[in-house]
Amino acid sequence: MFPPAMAGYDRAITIFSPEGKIYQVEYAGEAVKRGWPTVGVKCKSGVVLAAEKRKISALFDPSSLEKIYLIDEHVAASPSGLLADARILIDYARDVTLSHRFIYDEPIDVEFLTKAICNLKQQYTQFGGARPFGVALIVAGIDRHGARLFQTDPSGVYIGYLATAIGAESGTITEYLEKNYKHDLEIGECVELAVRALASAVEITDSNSIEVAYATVEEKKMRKMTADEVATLLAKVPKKA
Amino acid sequence: MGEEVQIGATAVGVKVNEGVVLAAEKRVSYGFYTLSKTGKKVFIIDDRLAIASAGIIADMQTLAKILKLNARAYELDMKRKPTVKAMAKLLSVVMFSRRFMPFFAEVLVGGVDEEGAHLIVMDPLGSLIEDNYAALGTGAKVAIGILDAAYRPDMTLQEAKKLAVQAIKAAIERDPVSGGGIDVAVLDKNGAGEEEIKLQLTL
Repeated sequence: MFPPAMAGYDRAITIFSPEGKIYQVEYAGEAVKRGWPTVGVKCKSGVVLAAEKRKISALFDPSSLEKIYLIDEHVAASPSGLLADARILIDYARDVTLSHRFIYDEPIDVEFLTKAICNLKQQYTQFGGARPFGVALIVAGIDRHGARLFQTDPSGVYIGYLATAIGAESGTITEYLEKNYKHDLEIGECVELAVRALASAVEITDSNSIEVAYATVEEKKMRKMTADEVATLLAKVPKKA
Repeated sequence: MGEEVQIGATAVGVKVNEGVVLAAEKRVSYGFYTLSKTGKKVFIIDDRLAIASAGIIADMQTLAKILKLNARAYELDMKRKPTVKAMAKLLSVVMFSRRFMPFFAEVLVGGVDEEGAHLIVMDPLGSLIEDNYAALGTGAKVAIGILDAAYRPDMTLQEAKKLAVQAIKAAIERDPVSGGGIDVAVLDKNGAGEEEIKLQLTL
């Protein structure tokens, strides 16, 4: 007998396997597992995103590559998986936040934005003619409910977290977070925790190989750290053993 | 639609620290004919938001329905109630989208949210103006004088309600297309209440 995936159930996204799986969606999840890792941590004072930026070649210009995207003043997202797919979702998310501001004259709630992104993702798991988005996103921001942190996956599921990681080595990073997570942190400590978690799994060589963004509940503004700020931060973080 | 169908109405809104009062009279007139004495021009949108309006009844009702639907949809989407400003802005977008065939209605949006009490005045094209008190419709010229003379932001909600009713009554006295009775909506942090004030027929 063939294993199920070989029986042709992975050929179309509109067909369930006998076990109730949509193989193309599961494969999209594999693309995420091979992506560059990214971390999100939420604490009482705010929320942090940290993402690895791998040096893909000796002459590559790290400033040209983004792993954390500001979507609106108060919210950002970091993808893992197929980054080209992520770009489409980020553009869509920016569109949603802008039209929300136009219609309601207020910043969008982070959960509603995440839901909008995931509704789009879900569409691509149910209708033929296109493949699912091979990307997971960590969406972080501040809204009326306080600090928010959500993780999405290619199927369109979104789940809120206190701290989470996606991409390669996300298991190791999550393990680190589970051991070291505290809710009662100031934003500086929260940033450090996120970077330490990332550093527990991947080698962070310099300030160009990582991107960090944070927002405080007070300020409600998502801010990306400059290379200098990251360098100062990295001096405090031990290199991967 | 004949020219006799005009914004024949009076609606007022009064904002105080405690909350907001919206009031409007109930006459629906077709020129020299009073079509109805029970026209509703005050609409509760949700338990902390209401509108009062002057204009064509059908347009007012439609705007109220659009707003009600959107307030509920917003609440389901966001898992929280919309703020007064958010709903006013939405109404503004709806109204301005009809820039060249407008809803024939002026609207007062009033309510209480996390930030406190709000009163927003809108013209038929959807302009947004926040104010402490306002009067709309053909009776506005009469009603605003009453509000101007007596309004204080530190009034109690009961005083604000009395003032609003007094302003509508003054308009009914002098504006021939206003009358029939008064609808009042009172909104504070405990919710939205509605009541009708019947008028004695003076012969």
